[in-house]
Amino acid sequence: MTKILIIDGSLKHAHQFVEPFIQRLEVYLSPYAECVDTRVASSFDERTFFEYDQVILTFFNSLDCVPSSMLEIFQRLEGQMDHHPEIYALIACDEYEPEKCDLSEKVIQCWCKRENLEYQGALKIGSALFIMNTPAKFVVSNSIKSFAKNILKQETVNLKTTMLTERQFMKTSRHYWDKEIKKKKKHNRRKQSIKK
Amino acid sequence: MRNLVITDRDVSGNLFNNSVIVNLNNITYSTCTGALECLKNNGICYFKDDMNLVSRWMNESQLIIYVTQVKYGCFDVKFKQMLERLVVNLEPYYTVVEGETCHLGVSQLNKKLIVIGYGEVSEQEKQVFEQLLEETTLGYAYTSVHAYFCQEDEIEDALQTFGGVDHD
Repeated sequence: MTKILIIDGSLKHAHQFVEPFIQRLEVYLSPYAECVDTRVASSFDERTFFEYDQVILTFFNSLDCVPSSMLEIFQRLEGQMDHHPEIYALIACDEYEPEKCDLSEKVIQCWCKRENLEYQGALKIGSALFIMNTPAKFVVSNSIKSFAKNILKQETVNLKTTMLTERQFMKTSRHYWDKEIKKKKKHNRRKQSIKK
Repeated sequence: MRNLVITDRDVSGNLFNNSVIVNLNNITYSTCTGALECLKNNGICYFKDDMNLVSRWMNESQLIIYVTQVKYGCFDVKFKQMLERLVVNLEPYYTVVEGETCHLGVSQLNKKLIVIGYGEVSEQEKQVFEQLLEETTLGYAYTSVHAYFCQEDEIEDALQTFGGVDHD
């Protein structure tokens, strides 16, 4: 039985985009781990990092790379490694291709190398903004389940998942942004009328 | 506005006579919250600070020079926080460019980007950083992107090399 820490290193309001994935991961890990704790970047205390056997870094990509909030955690942990937990990553991006998360993974690998940490691999999720509202959510759930199994067995892992087709992605994303922009306009109009 | 230098440390102003120099230590800006509200709001950021102006300059400049510390093959935190605020310059919808989906930049003005990265950077980190630049400039009309690496104490010498690069 291992102690697992999940760090959500996304930017403050980007937590909402990775939360559904973290919740599922917790469900698959909890029955078999001694404890599964989840912390967000803003309230993360780096001293607790060394109390766990495995650490899962999760975040929503920011400009094709690791968000600054995660980089801040890396810097805070710099040179403090007296215990070496295994590092896994769950990286989500809004584009269709989960390969857009590759660069973030490489940055994590560079950090692990500098800090002598054992990097064990990642689950990369594309189309993260909308995937849970499509039938592809079952595919994502299966990937998260496999990812959790690999973590519990302390195996290396390299998984990728995204929406079923690029065409479906383009259609769903267009619908998503149309709806969100419309909602925002309505909100702005209401705000202006209240001001008047 | 034609040339813009964004730096996370002091640089000699006389090396860039035809540029606006933005020293990140001298401006105030909030950290992006990542909610993507600006994409829903026609590129209007929730925060009203110095980055509103810098993001506009980014769109109008034809030569952009970054001077940044490189850590783990990525920008340093301060610089990354600035770049994250530039999400306002993106379109919300996705477009396929070179076979990849991405957000197009609002400004399609032809630009050149020179990045001077300093710090203890390994070969692997240099490669990652160069790939990062390639990836982050996809969707914008960058005609050339170049990265140069040096140690922190060599930065003035490196900048001497680029002094005058912003001249016509």
